[in-house]
Amino acid sequence: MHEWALAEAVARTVEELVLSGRDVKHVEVVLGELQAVDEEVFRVALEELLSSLRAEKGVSVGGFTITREKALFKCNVCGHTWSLDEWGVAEEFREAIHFVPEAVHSYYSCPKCGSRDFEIVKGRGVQVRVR
Amino acid sequence: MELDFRAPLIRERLSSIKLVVPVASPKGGVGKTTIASALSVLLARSGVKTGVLDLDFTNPTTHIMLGVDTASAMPEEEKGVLPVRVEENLELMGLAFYTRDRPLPLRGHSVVDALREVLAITRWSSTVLVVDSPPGLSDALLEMLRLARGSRVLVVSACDKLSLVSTKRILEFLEHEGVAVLGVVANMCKDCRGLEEALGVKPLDCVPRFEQLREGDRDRLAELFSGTLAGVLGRVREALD
Repeated sequence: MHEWALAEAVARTVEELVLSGRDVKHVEVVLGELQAVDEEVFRVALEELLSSLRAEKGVSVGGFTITREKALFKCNVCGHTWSLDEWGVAEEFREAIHFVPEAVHSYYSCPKCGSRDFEIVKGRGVQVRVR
Repeated sequence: MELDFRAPLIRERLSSIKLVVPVASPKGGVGKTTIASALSVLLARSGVKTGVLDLDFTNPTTHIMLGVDTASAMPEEEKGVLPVRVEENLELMGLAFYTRDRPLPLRGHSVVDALREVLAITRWSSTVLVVDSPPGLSDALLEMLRLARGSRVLVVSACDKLSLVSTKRILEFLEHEGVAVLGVVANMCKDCRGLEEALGVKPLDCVPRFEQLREGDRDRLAELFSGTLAGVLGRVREALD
């Protein structure tokens, strides 16, 4: 499952930080709306991976939280900004965007001027913040 | 502190690959996709587990050359994704599977994001990764070279003056950056002496223009190139030893 790969990436990042001597008290994982990550599957995978890290390598973190970020787009041609609601991503395209969010440029365009030259300003995919 | 969480996973995903060969050229139209496809088919058929990454995100065509239909093929999801199996020992990954051959206009930072995402999710089972690069010193090529340190670039050049001037530039850049060059292939050339004189480099192979080449016919591709890419194949095997 793709959620597993994302969780694995987060766990590897934490592992590298801790092994390099950084004290990681808290990990915040931000799930961007565009990539449509299944939060529950991701949470279970990350819990399992962090638990393995603790058991096998003695690497532990204080805790983690998952927050969500709404997607926001901006047209490079007319300057219009919009949210994902204005598109209502069709089921047939969801999987492609789930794996590679940039694929959205192949399926959708600016709701105002129709250009595909737009930017994903927020809510693209997964982000990790540590403190 | 915000981190790009994909970096450690990319390192791990690429660690099982012994050799990454970006196939690059300073300009379009010199036959990179043909050479990359032929090289990958020949390697696979000689028993080397070979992966192909189509790095030309905005204009992917490697799947067409390799005869893969993106309407029916899709990377399988398995704790990440598994590249599409083209034939025994040959697997392919690229954005064409996700865009279904629609246009994909991407600016620089989006190209880099897409590449990191693809490398982070793809679980290769190959020993050699052949990378079909977009023309020039693109964002995608530069990022690939950054992420896959130890790559050996195969430069494809035609023999006309414009190609030679451009090829010289890319060779100078690679040398300056300390990136290893596998060699230069002179493609669609009748006479390679001009290339050797202009660049001071003897091409690994001098490949003529094959009028009878048909996109999607891997058997024909292997047949036409088996005798003409011997130098490149030899160099790849040396690198694997």
